[in-house]
Amino acid sequence: MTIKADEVRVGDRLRTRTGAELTVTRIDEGFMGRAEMLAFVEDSQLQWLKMPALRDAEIERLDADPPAP
Amino acid sequence: MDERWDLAGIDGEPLDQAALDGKAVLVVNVASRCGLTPQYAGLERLQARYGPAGFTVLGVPCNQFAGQEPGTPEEIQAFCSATYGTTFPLTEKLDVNGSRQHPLYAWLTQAPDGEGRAGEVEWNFEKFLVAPDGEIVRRFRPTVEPEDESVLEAIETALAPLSSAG
Repeated sequence: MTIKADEVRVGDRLRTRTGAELTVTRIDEGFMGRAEMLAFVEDSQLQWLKMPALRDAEIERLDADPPAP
Repeated sequence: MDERWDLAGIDGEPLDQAALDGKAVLVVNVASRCGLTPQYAGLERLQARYGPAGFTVLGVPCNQFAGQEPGTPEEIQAFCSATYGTTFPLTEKLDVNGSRQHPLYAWLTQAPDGEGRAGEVEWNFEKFLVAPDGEIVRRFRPTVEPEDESVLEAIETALAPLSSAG
């Protein structure tokens, strides 16, 4: 499923356009001086990977929230 | 050998230290699928212009930024040489941030940029200039073009001791 970048939360698993995947452990405000962008970072023992996006961009999220009971 | 410079080339063989020793080195993390790849052309022009005076670019392929360097060593080498005619050395693919950060980058990222910010490499094509005496001279963020006046001035300043000695 896709969601807006500004709806991404820590713990979400995302896929980049090149097919790389990351589990977000940190969300940085701004990217290379551009306030309209966010940067999603996985900084874990498994990998360090960064994925920037415009706040209103559609992002592929791999793990949807579990359905409400 | 100083572990910071204990590097393998893109072919997996130990990098020829003669290519780096006693030179001003511009260390740049690169990625083949990044929008900044046209900077390769400027980097190669720096290599041509200042290489004979004791300068080299050192390209460091890195897949940590949106997975934009996913290729094999052969693919990376072919992209650089065929698309941009690069002649400067490339290392093997390295981590520049995180728990598996190479010792070279553990050292380089302690250096602040022009705004006083040290720490993580921000994106592809960040540049660190190391002087022939081994000191980090300047850090340039990714959007600073290789042939920006500030880069040229820093390289020429770093090379000055070599020209006065020679």
